[in-house]
Amino acid sequence: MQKIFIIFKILWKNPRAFAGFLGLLFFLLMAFAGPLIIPLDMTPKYLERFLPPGSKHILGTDYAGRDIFMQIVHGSKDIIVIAFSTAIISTFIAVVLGIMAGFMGGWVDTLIMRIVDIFLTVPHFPIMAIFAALFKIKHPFFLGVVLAIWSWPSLARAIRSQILSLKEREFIQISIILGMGLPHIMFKELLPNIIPYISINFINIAKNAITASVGIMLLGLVPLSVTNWGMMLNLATFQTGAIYVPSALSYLLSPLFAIVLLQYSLLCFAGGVEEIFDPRLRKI
Amino acid sequence: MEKILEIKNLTLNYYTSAGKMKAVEKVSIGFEPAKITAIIGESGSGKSTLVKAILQILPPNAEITPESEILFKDKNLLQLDKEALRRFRWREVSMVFQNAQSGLNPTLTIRDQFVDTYLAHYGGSPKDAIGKAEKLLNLVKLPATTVLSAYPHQLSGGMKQRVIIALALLLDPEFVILDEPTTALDMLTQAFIFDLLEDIHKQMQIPMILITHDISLAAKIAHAIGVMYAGKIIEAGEIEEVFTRSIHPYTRGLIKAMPSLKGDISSYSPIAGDPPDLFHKPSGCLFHPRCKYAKPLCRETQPELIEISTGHLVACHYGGEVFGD
Repeated sequence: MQKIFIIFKILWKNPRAFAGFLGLLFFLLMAFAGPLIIPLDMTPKYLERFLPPGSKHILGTDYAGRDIFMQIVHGSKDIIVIAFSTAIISTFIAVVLGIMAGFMGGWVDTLIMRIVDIFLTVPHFPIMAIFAALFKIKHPFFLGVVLAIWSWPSLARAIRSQILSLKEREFIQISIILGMGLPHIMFKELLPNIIPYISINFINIAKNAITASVGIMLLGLVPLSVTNWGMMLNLATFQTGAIYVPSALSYLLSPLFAIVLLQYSLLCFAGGVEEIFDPRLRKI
Repeated sequence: MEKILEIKNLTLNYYTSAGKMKAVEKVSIGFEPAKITAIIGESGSGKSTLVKAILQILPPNAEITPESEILFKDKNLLQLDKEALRRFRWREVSMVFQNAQSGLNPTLTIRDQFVDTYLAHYGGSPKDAIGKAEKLLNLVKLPATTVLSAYPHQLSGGMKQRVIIALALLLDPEFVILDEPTTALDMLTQAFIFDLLEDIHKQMQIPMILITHDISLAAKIAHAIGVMYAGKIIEAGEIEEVFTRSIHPYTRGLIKAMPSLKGDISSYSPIAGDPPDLFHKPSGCLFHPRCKYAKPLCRETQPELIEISTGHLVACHYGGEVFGD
């Protein structure tokens, strides 16, 4: 409880991070509480096609007269699930493999680093796109898994090099002498020292996952649902020709704007995360 | 007198790209219970290596020759297996490391570090560990409640050092090794820490080895002393005896090199020359190139460490003679 209080205090003192935190909170609420408040109604109402933003439709309507804001709300859950499942899975893989490679060294290190090399040299996006299409993904979580497979290697390598330098530090040497045991040293002594670094990368991976997933959906490779932001962009550009129809501008810009806002919130929040996890940076 | 810890015939080599380096050569020294023994010597004289050999925390390129023995309460530490060694370290012999400032994990509170160390060896509940930690922090004159919830960076250098000393006492060790416990601290803090160590020793009667190159600090709290030069003990004995009747020219030089507050500055004379290259040690007595009394014999044969009076050991061919200076 006291820890949560400290986190809030740190965020409060860092306006940028606090704004990011509020933005993130807004999107989380939108994703998980929004659909309960605003029901999904996808019946075409052709009389209300391409309405400009106004009091009845905050962001206007699409080519079939459906509210755009409603679609954004319903699409946000997919994006968030993809972003966080990718980030959680790939960070977990990177942390476990990175710490093992760095701390244990020897053949474990060599083996893990060769695997990392392979994953790093394969061109990510085309492979991800092919994977995504190949597996006929139905649930956003599985798209997250596919993205995660290609997101962990560079973080794993960075963690390994941090561990290599950390393990020569005296306090780690002392825990080795004390016979604290491998799991204790790896996760209780080493891990807290790289948590700030990991958390920033966690957010970076989430950000990249959003970009990648939107890209895949824009290409129409994973048709999850029409309300998905990437799908909305796809429909706006390829199906309705929104680029050429001035009155459809809102349909094109709304998902783009939502993506930018979510990404920027994450970016701002990342600045405060370091302080939360590194006691040396705290001002309180 | 019975010894609690005894080093016999210890020879230790480091293998480097430049060849084999004899860091410690045929050292035999005993440590008596309830006494503080100081080991002094210049940088590179092998004093840290000597105590690292006791805990066996040497780098992988170090090799201890087979005839060496380190006996702690009659068990040979060099023959302990991994698990026995793990139990032995910290519980029976603990150590305050050189540069102890960086011995605390910067991301964990002091409380966590005490609790983890305690639980790793004794199990039990964190409550017991905290109780013990509070007692020890009070012993080193720190406000226990504030310090326990602090992170290392919130403490000053002297406070960190005292935390480290408390941490070394956490598992009730029977022997404590202090490897230059006051490096990187200012003079006042150094004096304070040494007073503290003296206090702790009086209260707990715990035998200690104190590694230092500050001969005056050694004189202040130690009961016995060993002087190391180029990997060998060259003089050892009770502190009073060694200081008042020092025999080896190196020891005498060290004592004379100590600036005195009251004495005449002109009597202050540093030892000329540099410590020897450990890859190419001089023939005969290792100190002869710097010794102003060196005679042909010194160049040819190495002197043995011999008992000159009760408990006073000296390795000098002309140890019995008193040099007039």
